[in-house]
Amino acid sequence: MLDLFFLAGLPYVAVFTMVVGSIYRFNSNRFSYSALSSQFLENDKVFWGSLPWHLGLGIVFFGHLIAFLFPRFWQNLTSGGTVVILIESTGLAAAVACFIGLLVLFIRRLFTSRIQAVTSTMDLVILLLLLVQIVLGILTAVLYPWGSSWAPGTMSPYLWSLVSFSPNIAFVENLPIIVKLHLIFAWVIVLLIPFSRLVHAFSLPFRYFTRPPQVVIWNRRK
Amino acid sequence: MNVRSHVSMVFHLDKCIGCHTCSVACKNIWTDREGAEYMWWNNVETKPGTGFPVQWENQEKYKGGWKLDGKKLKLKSQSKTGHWFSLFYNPNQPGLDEYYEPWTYKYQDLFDAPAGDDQPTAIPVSKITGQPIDIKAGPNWDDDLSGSTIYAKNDPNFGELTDQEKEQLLEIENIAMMYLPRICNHCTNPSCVAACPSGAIYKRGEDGIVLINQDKCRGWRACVAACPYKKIYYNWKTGKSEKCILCYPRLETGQAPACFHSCVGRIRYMGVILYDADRIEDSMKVEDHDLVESQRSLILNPFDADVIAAAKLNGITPETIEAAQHSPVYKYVMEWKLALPLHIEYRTAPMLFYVPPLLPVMGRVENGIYNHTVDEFFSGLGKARMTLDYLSNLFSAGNKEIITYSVRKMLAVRYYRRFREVADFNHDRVKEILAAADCTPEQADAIYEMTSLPTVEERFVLAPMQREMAIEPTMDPEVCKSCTGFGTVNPPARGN
Repeated sequence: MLDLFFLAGLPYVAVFTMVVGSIYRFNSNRFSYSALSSQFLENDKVFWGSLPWHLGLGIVFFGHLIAFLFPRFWQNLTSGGTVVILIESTGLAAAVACFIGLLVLFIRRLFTSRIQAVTSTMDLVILLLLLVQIVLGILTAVLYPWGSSWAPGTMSPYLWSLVSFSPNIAFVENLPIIVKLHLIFAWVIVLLIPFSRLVHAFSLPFRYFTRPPQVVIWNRRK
Repeated sequence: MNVRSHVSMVFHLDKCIGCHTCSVACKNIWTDREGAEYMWWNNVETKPGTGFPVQWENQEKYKGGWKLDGKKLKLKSQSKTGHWFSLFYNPNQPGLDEYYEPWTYKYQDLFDAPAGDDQPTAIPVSKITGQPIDIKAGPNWDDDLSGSTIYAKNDPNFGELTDQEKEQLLEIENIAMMYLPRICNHCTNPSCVAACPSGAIYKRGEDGIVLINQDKCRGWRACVAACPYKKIYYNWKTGKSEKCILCYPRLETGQAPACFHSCVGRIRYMGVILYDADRIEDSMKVEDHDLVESQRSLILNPFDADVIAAAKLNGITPETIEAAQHSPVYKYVMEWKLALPLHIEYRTAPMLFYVPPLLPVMGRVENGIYNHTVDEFFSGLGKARMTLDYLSNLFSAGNKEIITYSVRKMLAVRYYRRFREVADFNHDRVKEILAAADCTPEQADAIYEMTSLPTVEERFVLAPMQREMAIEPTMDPEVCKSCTGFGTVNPPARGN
């Protein structure tokens, strides 16, 4: 029953809240969308925190996304021995970079007085959740290796069953507790996106590639 | 020809007394808020000096402005792909310590201190952390400290100056200095706009004011690095960038911006400039030496019938064209060629022009006596304390002819006035001087009057901002309200 709630109920609540909440926040209080950078206040530690965290996250997120979207392709790719090792070690290295980055950011947020001036409770909650989530991810990779080849048969169909509104937790309910916790924490983080600074992930400036360098706006339409 | 109008500015440095009234007027209106305490949208610097933030002119360090790369203008701070890494950590962004940590004093301690033998004190505390701080810097920390070895010596504008020239500038008991009031230049080729990943910074079509849409800004800070004048400030509280808005709410109601209005020395002029928007980028693609002339070629003659016709075609109102014809800025920049842009080598085509200071140039002392004889006119400039090399590094990208032209003409006006008032030399001599400075008696009179005796209406020639049309976007259902700055109802509170 608990499994059903955390693995089938929570995901829907989380994603629904994330989508509706983020859109509502965007429309009602767009000003609150910001990366809320604190590099201005503390310029040294942030380099060792923000950069490894974000770049590592980029790689890890991309890996998860491919495995979810193209499970068969991913499974074929990871059936060869060397490729698996290559992918897993890249992922693990990125995850460790994430962990180190987050740790630096966490310490910075706790002990730098200037950063304390701009720290909210939610910031700390999010940092802690992300830190635990990364540790769970690293543990999964280390304790239950070659996830890149077993996940396409378990995680991916589970996620697709959610997408198709016929949730089937049989794919994941017998997985080790660490892997299940990794899933649950992911849903909790998704749930908190619209209530935290994480919304800045939706602000990634893709349009910068195509927009003209100068922007001129007229009060009256020309 | 794509004619646009621009509310443009001239600061007459010969009249600036460095009183900071402009800075305080601005601070009281716009930046007296948490997160903005350290911002000085208007500040006054002593030159030679390091400025605010420290060494802002050092683009090796801050990477502001554009660079000419073959036939293309590229941002110094980032490329389209490289900017992704700067989102997470921007190596060119100045930190709080490059500005200063804002502080206040614990005044209440003066009242609450227990009775004792010593005087109670109000210790300084940080406005960010609330903890006691040791004040190490402020926005005008090197005010009047021109000879200082810490500040003046580290001025990035010395460039190719000889050791002798440098020594002359830094002589401690005989200091030569000038004041440099700075606001956002509202450039026509702004690098901040080009750098903004979110596309939040824009230039208003009607008057050229550069603004940041606070609802669109996501705090990526690329603009802070890209602006070579360091006139975009990051609000650490709201997580948004802010800048000088040229007091557009005042402009729209026919008032001059607060810093202009409050200027004690009346050094500030404001007027409309018509310019050709099609050639902005191309005009900034010439060698450093030719940049001032190239920017002048952008500015159009408001009396030219073709220009007027093209302006009307572009929707520029007759009132604006009339304002452009009476613009003091047009006179200073184009007719008299006295006013020059600050650091045009950053290639942003700034729309704030400076009349270079004359007094430090003239104030050379020989045996304790100032030499002001007429004979000095042709040789005096070479011996100037505030060397023309230095001024040219500030105002003409190192082009000495342009700065000499401007300073010589100002000097000629002075001699001309002396001839008119005191008449201690003959008419031929003054004719010779005016001719050498490319000036006529009529022009000298006009310069004198605009410099010394202008009324408020002559200094600020503001075209009516057509409020009735400006509010149209709030009525028009087809126009995005927040795009034009209307319709914001939330207080600017920091997101979670």
